[in-house]
Amino acid sequence: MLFSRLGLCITLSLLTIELGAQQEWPYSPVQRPEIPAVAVEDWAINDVDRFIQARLDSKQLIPTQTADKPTLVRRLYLDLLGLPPSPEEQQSFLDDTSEDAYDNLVNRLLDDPRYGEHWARYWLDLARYADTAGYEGDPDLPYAWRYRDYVIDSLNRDKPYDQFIREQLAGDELVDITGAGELPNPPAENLVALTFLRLAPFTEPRGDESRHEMLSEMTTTVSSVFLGLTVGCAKCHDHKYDPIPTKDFYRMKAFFATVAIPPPLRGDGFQIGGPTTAEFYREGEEEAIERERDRLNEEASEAQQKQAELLADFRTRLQLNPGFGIQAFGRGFGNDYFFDQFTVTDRLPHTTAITADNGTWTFYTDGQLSAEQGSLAGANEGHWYDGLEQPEYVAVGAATNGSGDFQTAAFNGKLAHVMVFDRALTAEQLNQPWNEISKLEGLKFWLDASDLDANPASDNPAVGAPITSWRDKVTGVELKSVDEQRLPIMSTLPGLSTPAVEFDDDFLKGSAKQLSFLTDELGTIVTVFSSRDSDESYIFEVGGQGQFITTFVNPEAGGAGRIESLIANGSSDEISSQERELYLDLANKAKYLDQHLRRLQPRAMTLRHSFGPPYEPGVPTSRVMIRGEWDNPGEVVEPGFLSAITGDQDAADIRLDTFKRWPTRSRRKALADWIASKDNPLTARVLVNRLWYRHFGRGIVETTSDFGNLSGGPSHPKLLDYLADELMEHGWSLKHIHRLICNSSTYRQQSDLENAVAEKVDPENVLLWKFPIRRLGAEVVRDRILSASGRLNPKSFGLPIFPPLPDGIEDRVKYDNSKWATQFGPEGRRRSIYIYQQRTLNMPLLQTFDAPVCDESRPRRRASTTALQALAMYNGPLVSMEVEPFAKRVIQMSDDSSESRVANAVRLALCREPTAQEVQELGDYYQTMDDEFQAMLSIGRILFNTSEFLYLD
Amino acid sequence: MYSRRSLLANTLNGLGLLALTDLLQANEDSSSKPFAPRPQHLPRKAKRCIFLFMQGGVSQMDSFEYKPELNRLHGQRIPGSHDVRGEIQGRISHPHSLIGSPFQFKQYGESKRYVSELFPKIAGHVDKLAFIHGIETDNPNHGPSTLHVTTGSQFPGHASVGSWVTYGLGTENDNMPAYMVIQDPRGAPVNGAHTWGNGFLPAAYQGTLLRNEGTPILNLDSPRGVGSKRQRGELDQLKKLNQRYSDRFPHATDLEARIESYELAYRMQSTAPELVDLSFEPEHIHKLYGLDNPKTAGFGKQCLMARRLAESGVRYTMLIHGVQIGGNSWDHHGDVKGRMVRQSAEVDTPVAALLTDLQQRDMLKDTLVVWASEMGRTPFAPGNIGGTPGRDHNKYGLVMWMAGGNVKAGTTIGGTDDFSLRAAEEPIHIRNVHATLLDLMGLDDELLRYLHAGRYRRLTDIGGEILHDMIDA
Repeated sequence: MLFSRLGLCITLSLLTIELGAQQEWPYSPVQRPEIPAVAVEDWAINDVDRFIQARLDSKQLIPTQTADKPTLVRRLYLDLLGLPPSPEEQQSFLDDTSEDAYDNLVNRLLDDPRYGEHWARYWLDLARYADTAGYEGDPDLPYAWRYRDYVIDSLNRDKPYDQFIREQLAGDELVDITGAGELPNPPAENLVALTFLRLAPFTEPRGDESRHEMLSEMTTTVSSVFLGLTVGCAKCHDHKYDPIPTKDFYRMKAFFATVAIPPPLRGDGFQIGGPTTAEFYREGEEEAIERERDRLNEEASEAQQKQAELLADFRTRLQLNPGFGIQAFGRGFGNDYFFDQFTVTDRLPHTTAITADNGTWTFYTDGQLSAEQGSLAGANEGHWYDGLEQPEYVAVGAATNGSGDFQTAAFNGKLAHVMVFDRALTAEQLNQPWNEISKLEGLKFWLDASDLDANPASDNPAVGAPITSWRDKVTGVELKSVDEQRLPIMSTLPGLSTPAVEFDDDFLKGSAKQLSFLTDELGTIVTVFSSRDSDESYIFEVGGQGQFITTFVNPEAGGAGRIESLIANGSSDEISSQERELYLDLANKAKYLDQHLRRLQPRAMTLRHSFGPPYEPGVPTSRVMIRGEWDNPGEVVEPGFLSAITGDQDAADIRLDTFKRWPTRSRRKALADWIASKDNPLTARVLVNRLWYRHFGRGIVETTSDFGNLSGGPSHPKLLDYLADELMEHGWSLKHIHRLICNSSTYRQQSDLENAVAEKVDPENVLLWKFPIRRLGAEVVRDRILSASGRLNPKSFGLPIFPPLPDGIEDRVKYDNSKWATQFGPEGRRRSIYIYQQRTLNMPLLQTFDAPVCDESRPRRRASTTALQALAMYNGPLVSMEVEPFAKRVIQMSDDSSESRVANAVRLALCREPTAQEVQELGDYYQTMDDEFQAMLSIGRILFNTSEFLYLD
Repeated sequence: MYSRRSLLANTLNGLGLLALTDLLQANEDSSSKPFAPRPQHLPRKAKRCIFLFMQGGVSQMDSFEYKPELNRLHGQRIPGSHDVRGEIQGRISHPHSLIGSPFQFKQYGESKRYVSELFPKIAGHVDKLAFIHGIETDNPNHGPSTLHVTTGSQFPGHASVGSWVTYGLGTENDNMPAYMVIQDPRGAPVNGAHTWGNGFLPAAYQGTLLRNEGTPILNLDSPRGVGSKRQRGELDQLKKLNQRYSDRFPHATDLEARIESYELAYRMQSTAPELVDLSFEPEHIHKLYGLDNPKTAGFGKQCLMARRLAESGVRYTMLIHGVQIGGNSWDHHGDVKGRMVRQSAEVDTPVAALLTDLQQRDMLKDTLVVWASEMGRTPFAPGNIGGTPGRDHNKYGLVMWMAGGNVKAGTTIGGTDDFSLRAAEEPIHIRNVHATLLDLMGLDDELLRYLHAGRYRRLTDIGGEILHDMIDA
């Protein structure tokens, strides 16, 4: 290794860029090499082996013997499917003694739809796939997931790689136009494929600057992914190591110059662009989506009822009394509340009051000082309220999320009666019956009610009509609006036909100035609530600048969401973790329904060529941008291919339609055709090298997205060309290459053989004298845990999933509302490829095992070893959760003996027979514990934490 | 004379060297000990760094830049021509009014430096600080500029400063992560975890979030129902299995490392909670950091925690004050007068306490303390001033200070014009600040690099100029 690298460096020519470098690797044409002769004939199964063997021969090294069948079947499953074999799958291979058992297994696995779900992850890393746009707010890209499905489907169908390239780069330009008619609609599949060009993180469009950066990013990514060249390095200056002048960067960029990004949807102005319609195109996909929609709707409505039942049950068990609350929320306040346990289903009015006197805020419920009745939130000294200097609004029946934006709040008000006084009221005053308090002269006096008789003199007016006075049926109190300019309207309770007086969220806006006591430090707000039944809730709120104080009553929730928080933080022993998760799962089903449904619209985050004049901008002049700066134009360039490959800087031939009706069309097609061509020296080499890298953990060229001078060159140049040639000669079939590799003797070698000589000559095993072990990728680790427990949900395709995250970290990174629709049920246990890729939130388990949420193309992943991995596996929630069903599964498979259980646990977790020593030792350990199930949990946790569980050998 | 850079780039020897370092780097990556202590490139005193990040864009002319001329022209348009680009230029060409600072400035210390009345306690340390004015970033929006200051690039995917420092130096405390992050207890900053991401560096170098609820580090508690005796028993069994597996692959050092990682994790379970348990701190320290005052308790805890981490050998600690944008950040588009008071009151005592405390423990000499925000603010508001004006984003006007280690105390680098609009003379790009920070940690910006996507990446990307005037070495 050392020699080959240094050797290459010494042969490097000077770094001045010479056109005509194309004669040198990697710019030289792919040539099918002669199959080398080897010293020993019977080792090689196919020609791949002969190339490997020839190099080993040259160092007088010998390959290692074939691994045993259990190892091979485990290796093939983990490598091709990213999943361990089930005991049955494993057994059926072990039982198959036919000569072609192995080849058949390889074929079967390549035909298995789980193959695409595993290998798609590698492509998604390259494509910098994510479900959000990154940056401030990290907005959702609701249709990105369709690209993920496109990749899975393409791989499973073994779509020819050249077609795969064309669809992703120029899917909108592939249909030939021969007449002068309309532009043909590109197939939906191609529109989805084009998402590839739009996956880079961008938000907040900034005109020409954004466009420059976007097109530059496309140029960089396309070049590195398909050509394995770091063309992006030439954006600001000539490439420092490779023959790629800056001009070539901008000549390549010019292919993208006529790209048109669909504008963002209304309300999505933060986004760099929007989607267009793209029908569901896979066979049965439309129906599957339809079913998914129905399922989501159904589950959400069922969930609400089940959730209510569960909540009632929890409340009974926890013996929580309903109550009043006075709460401070938002920026300067922290989040704190008083909560007083009262029986409020007594059908009597109750009052809460906030009163301010020279900077000290005091809180009363039913005329009694709340502080004396205790606060759940610890020391409350009224200090949080001093931040509320300039209230911008007063509202009834609405809440904010702390940002100052109103949101619908639970308000089933039967009677909410609010009085505002410009002075501090005394405890004695507050202790009077509410109608006596109302006689005290106040600044404002409002009532909101649903059991009311609007315009008491006549019938209720039509919904939507303004109301000047109303009477509460319960109390008989009649009230009038005090401001003719601000009349409430006749309405109904949300979702019901019950009449209500509706006060707009900002109904009282504008009166805030008169609430100057809030800055003058004197004043009182009294809120009166009736309590007729158990599902009332009221909110009265004063706020501004994203902070607010409220008084409320919420009998059902037990006040201030106390029961909700007890459930959420799992702190109550009365509620089991299963119940807790069931509850949260139900809650999220309704909460995130809209978000899921939105993603199911037939849309894709695609792009197209500009329609050109007279409709849209025509072909722009492309220029070198000096130092890569968006506003620093230099020399004019034409779209053209890399001179390192073509040997010249001529303009590319762009074939327009016959009538030249669409001069902006076909640029990207020209580029795609050039890349997806057998004459391109890099495309096939780069792809087969990527596959090789994924099979062996190391590429023939180590830097898989950089074939330039810093790559160190290929360890087996002829093998690389052989595979590249095979790819192209077999219809650009990836599965053909997989087959060649997996069927080879090289691949079947044992991994744990000691070979002192080889170890010395080639310690890095570059020459592959044994099969190299490697740590599994993060996704495989997670999927393997779920497979072992038997709880992996095998459902393919569709919406992104949201597995549970430890301790609500989704709430800590949220910008506004969390996007993470945690699914505790089976949906959250689908394969890792389906996990929502949120750029500001990487699942800790996956992140710990080196999985990125991609911001840029990631050709390789590291395999680190850290203490945080140990913590995640040993203490983390996933293993803790899955080890229980694992234990049950093992117990079910086994007889009562510890030997049987330990043996089956090893078989299930590690996919191999246990050794006698393991049965002995783990069996002894098992025996030390009194509780057999606990013992089984320990065994499971131990096995899940073994290195062997994390490695492919 | 050839600079090292030109030698590297232009000579065959240089190329050989590059390839060789690449090899070394590759070995380092696959090495099982990403945090083994590594020697500094340069002899510098700082062993650790505490990076204080103020989210939102701190107003420089209301904190550390005294601008009497701005105050004098309050309410008028900005005079003269100003070579600024982008949105600021757009705003200057529209009607606007200068807003003088509503705060009094006083001179402090022997250096007689002016500091706003909002930071009386930090001002008490002014002679220990070195200020950098007129720092420029590439983008005036929170997301990109926050990334720019914390990772050296306005685009996501780059390694954060702490990742680079720990990649360069490893750590001296095996029982704690090398790079810890304590965010505002009220929530995450803009960009979330990108702010302390490892980017293209190996995942081991990402910042570890110190949580303010539950266990200080994620997954630190043993599984429910597993006591320490049972855990030890399980880990002993595990160790046997792992040892046998490792024995089958004697040259796979990562398998050995995995065995060690379980021991380290086990130790971390006991050390980390102790480390963050502030009840070990005496009453007067609690008071010093303002833990007895609800206004300062939040950041006070963060600062005190940072000191404890620093003491225990954590290499790099980033503290974030402020969340996203809005009322709890320094993003004072409106009412700069009212809101600066609030934010500054939250940090002045804690930050001053950190400096005092480090000093009294004789740790300031080998701890680099950095104060930063993502950008500065404009001296004007659009239109006429009415009500409670605020200030907009200004990517030309970031002010930072550093203290400790080889920082030349009491110095001032750069300076802005009479209006704090932009650098008066040469602007100082943030990459120069980064190069300087690395230097102060004993790391050479040109040597601290990582091959990614065809280029040797550096924190400063294209290289920064070291601000030698603020280095005392």
